[in-house]
Amino acid sequence: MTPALLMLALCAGPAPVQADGADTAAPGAGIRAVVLDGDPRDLPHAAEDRWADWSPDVLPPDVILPTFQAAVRAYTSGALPVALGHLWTVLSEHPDYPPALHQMGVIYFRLRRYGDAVHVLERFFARAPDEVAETRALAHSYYSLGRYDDALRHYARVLAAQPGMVEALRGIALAHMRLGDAAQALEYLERVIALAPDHADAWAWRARLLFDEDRTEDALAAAERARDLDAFEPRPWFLLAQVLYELERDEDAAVARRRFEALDRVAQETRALEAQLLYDPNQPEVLKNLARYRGSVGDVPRTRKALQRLMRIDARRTEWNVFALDVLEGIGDEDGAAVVVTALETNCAGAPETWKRLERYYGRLRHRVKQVQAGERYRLLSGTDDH
Amino acid sequence: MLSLLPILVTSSTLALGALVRAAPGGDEPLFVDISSAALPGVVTTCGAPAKEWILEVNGGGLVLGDFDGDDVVDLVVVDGSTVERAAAGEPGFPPRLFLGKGDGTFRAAGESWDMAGGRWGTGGTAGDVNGDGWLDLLVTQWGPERLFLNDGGKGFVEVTETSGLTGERWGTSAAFLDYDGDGALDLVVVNYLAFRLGDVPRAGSAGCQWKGHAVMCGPEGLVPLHDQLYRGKGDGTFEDVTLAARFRPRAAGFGLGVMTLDYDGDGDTDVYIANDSTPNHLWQNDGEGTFTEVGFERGVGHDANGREQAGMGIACGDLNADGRPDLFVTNFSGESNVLYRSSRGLGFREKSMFARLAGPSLMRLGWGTGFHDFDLDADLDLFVLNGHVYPQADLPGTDTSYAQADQLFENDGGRFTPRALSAGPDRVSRAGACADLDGDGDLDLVALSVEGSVRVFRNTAERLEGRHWLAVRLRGGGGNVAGIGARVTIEYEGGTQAREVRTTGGFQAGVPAEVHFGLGSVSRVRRLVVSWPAGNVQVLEGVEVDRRILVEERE
Repeated sequence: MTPALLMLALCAGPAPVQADGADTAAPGAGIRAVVLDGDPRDLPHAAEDRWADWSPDVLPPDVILPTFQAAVRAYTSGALPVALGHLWTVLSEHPDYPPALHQMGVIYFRLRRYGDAVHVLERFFARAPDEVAETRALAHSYYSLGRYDDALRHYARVLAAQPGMVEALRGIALAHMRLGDAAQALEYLERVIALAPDHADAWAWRARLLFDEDRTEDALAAAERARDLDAFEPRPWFLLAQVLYELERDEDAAVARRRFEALDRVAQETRALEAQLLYDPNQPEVLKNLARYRGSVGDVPRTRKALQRLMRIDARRTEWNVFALDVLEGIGDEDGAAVVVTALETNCAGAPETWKRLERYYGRLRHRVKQVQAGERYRLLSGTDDH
Repeated sequence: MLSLLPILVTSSTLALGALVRAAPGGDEPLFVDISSAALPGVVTTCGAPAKEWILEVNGGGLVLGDFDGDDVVDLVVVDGSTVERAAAGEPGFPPRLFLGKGDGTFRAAGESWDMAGGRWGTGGTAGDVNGDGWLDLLVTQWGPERLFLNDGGKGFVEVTETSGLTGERWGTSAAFLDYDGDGALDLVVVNYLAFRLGDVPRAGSAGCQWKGHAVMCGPEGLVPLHDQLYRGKGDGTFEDVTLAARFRPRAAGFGLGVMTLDYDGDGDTDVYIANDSTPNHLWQNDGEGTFTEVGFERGVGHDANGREQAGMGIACGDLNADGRPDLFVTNFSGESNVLYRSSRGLGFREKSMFARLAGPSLMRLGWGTGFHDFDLDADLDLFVLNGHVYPQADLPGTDTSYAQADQLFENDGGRFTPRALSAGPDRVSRAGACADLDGDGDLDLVALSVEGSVRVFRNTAERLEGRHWLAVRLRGGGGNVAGIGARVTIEYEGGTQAREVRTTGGFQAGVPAEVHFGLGSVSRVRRLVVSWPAGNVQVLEGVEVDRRILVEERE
């Protein structure tokens, strides 16, 4: 991400979800009981021809539009349960409205409620069979439930509608793999890699399959490629270590293993944190921990993403910007740090802590003029003279 | 007591051809639940049904073995307790011995077999720890291990205080082995996590969630405990050699399952441990009284993608007759159970998908498991007992359920076909153990639920046409009377099979030290080879089938 984009993300992110009551607050009390503990199979059904004339090119009817837009905004901000609540309202009042079914299915999938996702997306697919290309989440859900034959069939439908969709090709490959057909799986992974040569995940799966097939040297090359494409993902390092042990290159394997273990420790922690955020994305301390863990292994892109999510809650919070600067400086991300500095100077100029921190920042850069200016500003705002 | 004859047919030849047989195949489950006749009214307790603490979810244990020396398999049910009893300092529910009647049913043992309640029983295993020819009992619990010596087949005598067993942890599974080859049984105790009432938050009070639902906390966030290795002195006492034997990994795991095996074929016994939410451990016996943990190097620490899984139970057997054991580990819902098949060198490859064992397990939470030839067709089948840890699994959106169907996987040439284990309702199953309870030549199953009745399943393989079998027990010359760690290989027209003698049932269970072979249509075993733990090899030529034999070790 360029500094400009990062700045955009950090400083101009969506407004805090909970603060924007009109758009993203839960539609009424008891959202948890009604929506998360609810069963989408209980939602009413529309008459068969109710949405026969629906087209994806047409905006939702006025009676649906505000609630649907609120759902989309909540979804975009990561507030999945809130989005689900709005969609529940839409579908309760306007049964089987196709875009709401689709959005709800995607949310259930992201919440890992795969059975619910299948139910809702099958209903969407029945209402909008021409939109099959948009239903890859249905195939993903079949896959996640272990219904590999169903996944295979639906990925094939998606692919027929949109040949060359990398995600569907990857899905078919993995479904074949789960069904024990390594040759087919490898063939589809080759197609993924031909279309997307930098698809780290495809390279990693390829490495695994080749290793299973005892094509050890090929597996090594694939694992190395996967590692080079995503050096902070533990899996390629794991595969690399396994292959190297097989090749009796024990010293190299031990190095890969150590890196895997370091990254895996972080991955375990971040998985747990992400699980907490899934149902409540606005937890600053959890997001800070996420950024710390990402930063602990020097993973700049994922550290930035975690900080962006923190700033989406409140980009003007001085304490959080200072925290972001600490983290980014700590991992040597000078571009990212510079963006946060701009954010501090712009959005948090009235806080003495901003300038106290910037005095230290500019001091490290040996930017004496700015260092002195920041120090003066700090003393002026704080009324202290502790320099 | 068993006879000391070199080869002794201890049950009369049971020619299956003499029985009335049903047509093979069909969808009729192989197992029939005979609990109401076999073990009426026997229930266990593991906390309260709401499962507010992790202490309440793993269930109790089962130990199968012949304790009274009548050549019939008996059953020990290891019972738990409740949080209220534990908090009040009251003992848990005692382990109970039920004597087999030889027809698959049991009767309560007399008073001399009574055992006092401990703290909170979890599992156990059996072995002759003092070399007197009688099967002794080891019980694991949340609290110190307990050892009961067998008083000549007349009753148990608890000797925990003088045994040298020093565990004061949360033992789950245990295994007897002779790791140093001195003829005295040693002991591995697998430990789960540090749990003190009051220190671990109650479900719903600390934000512990699963799929958006408040659930009991752990194991993540709690402290895993190291496992322990005890060296047996041959007189019923032990010393803790965990550190001296380097049986201490870099990081402790949340230990649940254990298996003894000789994975590298060097003649000594290695140990595999299934850990919950942490990498599994494979302890390679270095042959000099020490171990090295090689789970990662051998590819059995994680799944094939480097994910540590929630390992529960372990099955072990040589699926592809390559002379090396394969391993199967049951895991949490949302994770597949994992088959690690031996590959080139000393490594393993995860082959769950190829074997078709991944998909059918994905939404289930597996516990007790085992490779056995249930249908006597000369290959190893697999049973998996299932049940969730969270009662909240019955809430919307979990894609699973609290009670689940147990599974029998029939081996079809290396790929497995899932079958219903029985026609019974879904249960919240936990430990399971197999043995031939009714002496008809096929292996029956005892299964525990997290609480409630203990179930006994009778194998009906006798209705299948032309299936032969052979069961082998060993009598070692030293203190390792049952020959634990020995390897028995049979050769016959068209194939070979091998088994290792062990008494661990994989998850909180013990099984008899007997190896069992299904033979299909094979009516005669050409050679039977026993590789004893001491390294000597004994060969028997021309062994009749459909019988149970005892092989005595010769110098």
